[in-house]
Amino acid sequence: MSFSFEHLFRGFEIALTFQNIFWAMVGCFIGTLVGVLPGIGPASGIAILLPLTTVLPPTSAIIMMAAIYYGAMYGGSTTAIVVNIPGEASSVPTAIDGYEMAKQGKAGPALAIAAISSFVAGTLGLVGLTFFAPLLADVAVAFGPPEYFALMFMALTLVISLSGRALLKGVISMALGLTTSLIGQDPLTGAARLTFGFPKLLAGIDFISVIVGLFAISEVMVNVESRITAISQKIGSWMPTWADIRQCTGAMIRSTGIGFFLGLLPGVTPSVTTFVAYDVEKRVSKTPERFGKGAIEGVAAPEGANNATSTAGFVPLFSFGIPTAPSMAVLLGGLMMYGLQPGPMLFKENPDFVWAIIASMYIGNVMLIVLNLPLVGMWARICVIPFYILGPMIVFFSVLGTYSIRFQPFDVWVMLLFGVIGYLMRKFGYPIAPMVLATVISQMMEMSLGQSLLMSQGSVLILFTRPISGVFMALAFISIARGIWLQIRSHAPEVAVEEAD
Amino acid sequence: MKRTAVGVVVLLAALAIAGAGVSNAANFPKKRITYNICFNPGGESDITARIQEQVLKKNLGVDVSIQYKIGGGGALCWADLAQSAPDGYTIAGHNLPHIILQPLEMGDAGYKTLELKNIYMFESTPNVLMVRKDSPFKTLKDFIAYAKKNPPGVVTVGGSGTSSANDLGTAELNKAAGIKLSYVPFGGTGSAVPALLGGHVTALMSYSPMAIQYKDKFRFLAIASEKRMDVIPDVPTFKEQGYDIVEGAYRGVAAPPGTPDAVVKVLADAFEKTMKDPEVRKKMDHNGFKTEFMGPEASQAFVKKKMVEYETIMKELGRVKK
Amino acid sequence: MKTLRQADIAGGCFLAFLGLFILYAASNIRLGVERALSPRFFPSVLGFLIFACGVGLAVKSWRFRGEDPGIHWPDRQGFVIVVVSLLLIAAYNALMKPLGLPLATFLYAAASIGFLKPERWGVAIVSGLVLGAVSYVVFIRLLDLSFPMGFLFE
Repeated sequence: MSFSFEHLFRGFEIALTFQNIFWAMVGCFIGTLVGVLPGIGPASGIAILLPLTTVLPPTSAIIMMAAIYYGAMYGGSTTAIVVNIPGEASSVPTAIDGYEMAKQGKAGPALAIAAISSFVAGTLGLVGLTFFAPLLADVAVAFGPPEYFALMFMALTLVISLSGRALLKGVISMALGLTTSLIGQDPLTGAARLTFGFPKLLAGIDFISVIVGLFAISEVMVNVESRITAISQKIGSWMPTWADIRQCTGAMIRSTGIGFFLGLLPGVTPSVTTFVAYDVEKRVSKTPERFGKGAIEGVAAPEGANNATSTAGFVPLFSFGIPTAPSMAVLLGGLMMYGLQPGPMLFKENPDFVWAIIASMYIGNVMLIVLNLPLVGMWARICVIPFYILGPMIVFFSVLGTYSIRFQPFDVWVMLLFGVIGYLMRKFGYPIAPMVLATVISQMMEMSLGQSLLMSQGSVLILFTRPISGVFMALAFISIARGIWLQIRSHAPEVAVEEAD
Repeated sequence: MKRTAVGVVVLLAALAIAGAGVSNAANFPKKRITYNICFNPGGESDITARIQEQVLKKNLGVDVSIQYKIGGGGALCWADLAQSAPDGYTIAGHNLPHIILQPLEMGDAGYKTLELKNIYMFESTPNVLMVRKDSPFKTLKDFIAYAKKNPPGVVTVGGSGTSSANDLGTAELNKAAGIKLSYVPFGGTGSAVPALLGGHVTALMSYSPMAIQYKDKFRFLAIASEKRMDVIPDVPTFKEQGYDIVEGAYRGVAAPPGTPDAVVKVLADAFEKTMKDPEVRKKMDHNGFKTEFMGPEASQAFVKKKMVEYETIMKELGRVKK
Repeated sequence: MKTLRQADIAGGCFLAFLGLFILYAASNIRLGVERALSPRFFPSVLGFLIFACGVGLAVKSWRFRGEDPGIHWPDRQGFVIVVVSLLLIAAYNALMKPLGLPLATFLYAAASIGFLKPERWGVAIVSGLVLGAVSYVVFIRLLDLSFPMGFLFE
């Protein structure tokens, strides 16, 4: 797909037909809905609607499915901010500051800034997609297994630094998260690991149940024990002030950049980029101590990265036919149901199709902000629902979300267990974020390390001699060295900043 | 009092469920059938099921609900199937070599290969060995010569997962040609593609649909089928190039152990009719899936035959659990 | 455990043992085929890391002599509420299969709201009914997910 204004105009012409606008709207609406419901991600949202495609022409169907995908990125922040349930791993960084804001009665501005940041990043990302896709496509495949490993390794070292003074506890939290994900079959050899003879454990532990447990369930526990009457006593102003928006401008642009470039890589999902964006924002901030206590940039950054990543995912899709996320794969599956062959040829031979989707995404982003901003008032009110009703509701949605991952009660037991673990971690001041990121990327890290070693016949040097991966490894080691240095010099107790009241 | 009431209710429910189990085939099916897919949405199994869905509903006369049960490379789904009610209302897609290799390698995979009741085997995707268009290898011979010239293990071949048909196919090629390629497993068929596009592996052992999707990027050295495929007529087989390798993944559907034969037959007939539907066939062929038509007995016999074959290969490779 | 120092010493020791246990479990992983990356490698590294950090945490806290931030434990009644709430969730999950999602949801929501606020039992029952209905209409009907429906809806 190469750019020309002619193509783009033709795309808008197709996208602006009544039918296509209608299906984009349906997609945006459903996307927001599946984004809001914890556990039900865009992939299952799209899959549920696949039968609809038998009655729709391909272009409308893909426009709708794409809208579900990026629409879910808008909705995902809602429960994270309002009730501290990140429905996907990518909303975890949003929950850190977003929920703090909600507790202070600022759920409205947090939700609004999330929508605005999503819009800005989504649209900027689209501009990148529109004009530079052919250039950027090569970035996507320049990353081989060693680069992936180095990137993940660096992301882990960055996220540990989020734990403030509690460095040791941050490392422990990360190591426990990585270990949890190892349970089950080894992705490289198929060997059963850490299953202790339980066949149920062979299929592994799904990270959604871990996340929902760590956040939502432990939150409910902490709230019921202190018998709070509601998450927030008041709802302040619904809209962010101009000062808020100005404060977030930098964060939005930086996170767009981070989310977009990392999002070009197949397999790097928003769950990774949101953490990196949050961390970077904290580092560049003049007042990093505000992070974790309701900093509005802490909401803008991950939400921006989220949307930029999902938009960037269309670059390898349109250039090589490579899906970068599970939901993209479902989208491609939808194409095959029409008898179309996904792959680079499809998009080369049908420019109208590609450009209609891109054009519809501009329209969809506008629809989403129009749809989401008025909803902010409604969502923000959830915070003042008496907690004796809201608590059981949170549990209800958590149980349903967790159960629907694989439809087995086992995942709900895991959620409950991690609820207790999360509760103890809060009490003892262990940061939770490193555990979440570790659970998400553990398998990918091990797999790419194994692949790298196969490529180099067992030599670790491959991680350092290839330029891109070498840079990431160097950054990671600098980060580790800095951490050890700070640890030696500090004589403070181990307290996680994000948990300190 | 309350407790007794609940007890009675639970008992009644249990009876109702048990009663549903002995439904006879004459009025089967009379309610919605759940068709479990054991791999990610968007994968080959899912796409096939989605292509079949509408026609299958028509042929069965009831709703068919496609659900995903993902985990352990399919093991979660098949273990679950092995414990489902044998009434024909829960079926699941199954794959060769997975259902043979998992119990073989893991010892206890939560199910046994022959315990799953085969309904129908409807497609296969032969292995295809591919390299980049700009690579110096024009033919399989060039490739093998290059592998022989280099120290063992230097030439890398990517593919989908460990103990997949791709993995076995690479091992078989190693043996047949007397070379040693390093097999690099990826998370799925799709995620191995960028590795070849970026030149991180020398070649890719993948399935036939990829040979259609990437025809302008990759060059296809050989296909591991008996005969050339109609949709990719210029890809030569391994056999005609002197290597006796026929390997690929087979997909079908299975029912829980103990499902009555009459019920299985109703399902098998519906699948047969679906697979012979011209519209379905066209979509399958077009996407590079090779359609197969093996009913319950034929697919059961096929699984048994493959079990013997794979066991031999796995023993030679030293991958059988002792 | 009243102070964070005590908790961290105890936690550190526990983690050190956990690390050793993971190391032990890792050494029992079947090796199978020779691969460049042994399936034991990651678990062993992590086991060691957890062990080392656990020891480090215990030692560091042992030597710590500053002002202790303390731990916010709930009072006795709060503790009871937490435990009962957890048991209710467990019951919800256990009853899901036999009773079906809608009925189990109703029972769970009514019971836990009733438990948290006994004087508002009317609200409890109404909320239970609403959530039960939502679970049926949205998740079973609309989204077509295969939740157990129970004998009521078969």
